[in-house]
Amino acid sequence: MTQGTSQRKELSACETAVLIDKVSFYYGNKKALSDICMKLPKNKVTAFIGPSGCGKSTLLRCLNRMNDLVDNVRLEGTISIGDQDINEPSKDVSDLRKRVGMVFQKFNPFPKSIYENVAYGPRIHGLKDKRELDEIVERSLKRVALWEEVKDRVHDSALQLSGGQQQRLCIGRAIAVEPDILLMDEPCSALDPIATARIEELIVELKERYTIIIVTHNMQQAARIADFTGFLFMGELIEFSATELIFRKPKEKKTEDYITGRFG
Amino acid sequence: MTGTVEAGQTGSSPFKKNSILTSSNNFRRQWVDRIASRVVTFGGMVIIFSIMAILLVIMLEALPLFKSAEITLTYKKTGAVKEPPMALGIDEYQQIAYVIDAQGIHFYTLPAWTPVEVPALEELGTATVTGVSHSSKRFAVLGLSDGRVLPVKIIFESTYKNEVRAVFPGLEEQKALPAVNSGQAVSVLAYAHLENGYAIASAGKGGDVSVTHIKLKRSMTGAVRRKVSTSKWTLPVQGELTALALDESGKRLLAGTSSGQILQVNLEGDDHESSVSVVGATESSNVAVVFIQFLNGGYTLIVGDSEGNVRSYQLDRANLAGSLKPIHAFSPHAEAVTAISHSLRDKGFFTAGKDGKIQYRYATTGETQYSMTGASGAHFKTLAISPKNNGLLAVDSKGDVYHWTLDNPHPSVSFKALFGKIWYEGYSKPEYTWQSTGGSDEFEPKYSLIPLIYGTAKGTFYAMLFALPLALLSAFYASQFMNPRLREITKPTVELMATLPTVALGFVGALIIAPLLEEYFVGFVLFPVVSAAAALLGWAADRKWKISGKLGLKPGMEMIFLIPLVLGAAGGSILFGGFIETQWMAGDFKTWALEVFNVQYDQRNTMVVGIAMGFAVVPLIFTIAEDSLSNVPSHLKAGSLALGATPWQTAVKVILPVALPGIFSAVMIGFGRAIGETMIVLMATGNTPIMDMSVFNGFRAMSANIAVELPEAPEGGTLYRILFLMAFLLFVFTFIANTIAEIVRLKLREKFKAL
Ligand SMILES: Nc1ncnc2c1ncn2[C@@H]1O[C@H](COP(=O)(O)OP(=O)(O)OP(=O)(O)O)[C@@H](O)[C@H]1O
Ligand SMILES: [Mg+2]
Repeated sequence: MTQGTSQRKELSACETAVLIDKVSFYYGNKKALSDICMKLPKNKVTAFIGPSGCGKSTLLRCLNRMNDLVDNVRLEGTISIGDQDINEPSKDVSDLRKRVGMVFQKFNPFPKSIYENVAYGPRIHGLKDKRELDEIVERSLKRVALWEEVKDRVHDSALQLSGGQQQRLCIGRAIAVEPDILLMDEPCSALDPIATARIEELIVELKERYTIIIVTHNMQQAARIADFTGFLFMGELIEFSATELIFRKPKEKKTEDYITGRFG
Repeated sequence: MTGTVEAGQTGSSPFKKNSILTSSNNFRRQWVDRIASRVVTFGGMVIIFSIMAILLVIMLEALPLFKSAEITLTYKKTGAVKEPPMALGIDEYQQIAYVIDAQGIHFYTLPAWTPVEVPALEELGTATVTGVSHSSKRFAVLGLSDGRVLPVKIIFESTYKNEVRAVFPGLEEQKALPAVNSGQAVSVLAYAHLENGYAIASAGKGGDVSVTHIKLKRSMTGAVRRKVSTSKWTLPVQGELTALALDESGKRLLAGTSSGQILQVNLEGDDHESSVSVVGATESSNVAVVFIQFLNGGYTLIVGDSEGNVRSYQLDRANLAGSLKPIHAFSPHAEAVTAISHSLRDKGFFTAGKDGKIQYRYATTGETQYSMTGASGAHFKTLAISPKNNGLLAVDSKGDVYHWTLDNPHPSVSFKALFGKIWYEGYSKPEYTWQSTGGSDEFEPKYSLIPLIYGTAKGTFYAMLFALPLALLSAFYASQFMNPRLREITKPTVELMATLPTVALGFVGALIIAPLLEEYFVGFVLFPVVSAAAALLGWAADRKWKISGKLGLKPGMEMIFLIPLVLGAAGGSILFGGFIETQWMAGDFKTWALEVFNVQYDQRNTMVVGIAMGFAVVPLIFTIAEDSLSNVPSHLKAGSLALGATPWQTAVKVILPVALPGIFSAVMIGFGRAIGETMIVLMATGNTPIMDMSVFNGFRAMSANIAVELPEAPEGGTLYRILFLMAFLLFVFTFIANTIAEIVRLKLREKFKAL
């Protein structure tokens, strides 16, 4: 929609935000990712597409180590953000997650007020000043275009909001801690077309400040908002390049088959 | 319901080919559905109904306690006696009444009031009766006009002929005591039954009083020898003596005067002058004492005066010179009191007044439970309560005789008796006391529920004090930090603990924990501190040297590493406790606590109960709390962690608030369980109904009390019903606890429904 071809650059010309180097991932003995290598560009929207079960979410969760919550998993290879291996044992995982925010498929606001939801992140990272918190809440809600809708009832329960509003609140909550990277796992799959459109708009706006990595099943969505798209299939990265290229003239047969809807 | 509609629709649907199959299939399904729902509904109804029925039974058993006295007039004989008699009596079957008047003792059948002929009193001679001291114990002492005193035993012999009972009255005269007070007519006198005879006191003019002790000795041959000893006083009274009473030791004489004083004479010793003391008085010197009457048991005495006041006093039984303690002022008669008759079975009595009223009172509670009036313009002169406490005979100033039946099976129970402070006989002040049975008939039962409610509360409190931190913290740890595989073992194990019979826990508490605790008390107190310190040290060591990593333990399995630490801490604190005891407590904690803090340590104390009952309650609270913590949607946890929150922050700030309702209901359910717990409190405490918050002594809980006393409570009796009342209270307490738990749970589930 908004992005023209002129904005698009070659992958190699972009600054790298995340470097994924020969990453394989195992759930127990089951291999979910094999030998993934990719450079995720900074301040761009990167989409992961692929059939169900191909490992999109797994790859996304590797980037903020949410997979640590799963028992009995193993990762090979390295993932670096800003020249630092995120899996290094000495690294603090909460620090990483502060820098790499995440928005989930099922919107999950806490059963607290709208205000408390947004203020939660800054608070746990030690911010106590009321005025500063107020500012952050307002700024974050404005960035996700929710402020106008809820400014009179920020102290009401977040659970009263509509699905789309809740999801925008979750995005607002994630950006309230000022991350560098925002991971989104099918953020629109539980929303209606209008709410989806709003979120998509939002994502495009947000890429000015954040590096966004999004998993989606919706090919049109990827085409509309992503600068770069990676196609995963059975744990392997089949193809990764500018979105236009992927959709117009994919190099790989499997990509083409998937995009044209022959499987998936 | 919807099934019928569907079936109808299918029938008329265009798929005619399948219609038979579909409809029969639907029909079957419908029936199964309907039967299943009926069965489930029925089952639920049966359960609710049974619980309600149990509650109803308990209530019905307890309810008669609060029935007020029922007194019904059975008959009235107008003009039955010509002159109002001096005393009145009735046999235990209420078939024969007797009347004592100037001419002697006369018997009448009831209700016909036909005279029964008995031989006249020989000793009476030409004299007339001028005064009577008489109790329902069928012994009358007659004061005669010539100054003599004549003791008479009144006998009722009952025989059965053709299943019909006949009662034959008779009189057994004793030898009259010679006149002491210069032959004056005796109108005020008192007598007391003693162990080996009796004592008689009689008043003369202006404070003259004589006391005669008659000792009866049965010789080997069976003949009875009388030993009579008389002593005389002149009491320093203004006016005349109007009432006398002898206590059942025969060593103390109480005298009321027309000027309103109550004097006490110590009959022991020879120093007559100093043995007299003033122990009470009416409002003013214009108000005369009308009667002084000991109640059953000889502790409490009732004083009535010419202004209609009725007061009870307690005797200082230990000290012959001790004064009377005023206990209750009963609701007064409007005019002078005229008569009293007290029950031989309990602390109840009737008083009559010139205002025409008869009032039924109960001395334990100080309450007036019933009031009635006779014919207008007349008042009752004499009263006689039947020996079985089930009837009352009265004669009024017109000579009319009244008879009432009396139904008051639980006179000692009232709201005040159950929940208020009562000044019991022999106590130095009003107290909450539970003592349901005593040695004799004259025992005053003490039915205050407060010590038992207190005991229940105390046991529950300490059990929760022990169980709550343990159960909640472990539930928190298990759900949030423990390795899932370890949790799979831990949780069922703890749940298995809940199946332990409480008898076993009580047994362990009484026979293992109690002696161990007594032996290693200081170590036990130190243990939580020492083990926490050990755990912290272990944690620090683990951080530094990565021990659990080297041992191949996964995150969340550190607690395996904790087990030897805690065991070590237990051993350490026992050793250290022993050291402290020998160093600073002169070798023994118990004597030290007694000397320094004046605290008595009982072996079976509340701490033992707290621990044993804690173990019964911990699994329950743990399971429910753990469930509610684990059931917090994982996406909330993920959402918090993804913002960079630590697991601890997530657990405290996100999981805990959401799980709080479940945790609350876990606590309330545990609480309800602890309230009703019986076997443990029964076995592991001394069961003394004391009211003391100290952990070092025991208590008696309602549940344990029911278990102990119900087997020995006569069915339908007061104690029996009070125990049912207790069961009802327990039911209500647990019901309230569980209802609060459920309401809170539902309310909060509503709140978090959107999750
Ligand atoms: N917690 C887990 N434990 C074991 N295996 C898992 C776990 N999560 C995912 N897997 C497996 O890893 C593979 C990749 O899963 P993943 O969730 O990454 O797929 P996906 O591409 O996100 O699929 P979808 O589009 O349906 O969300 C699947 O085969 C899945 O079965
Ligand atoms: Mg997925």
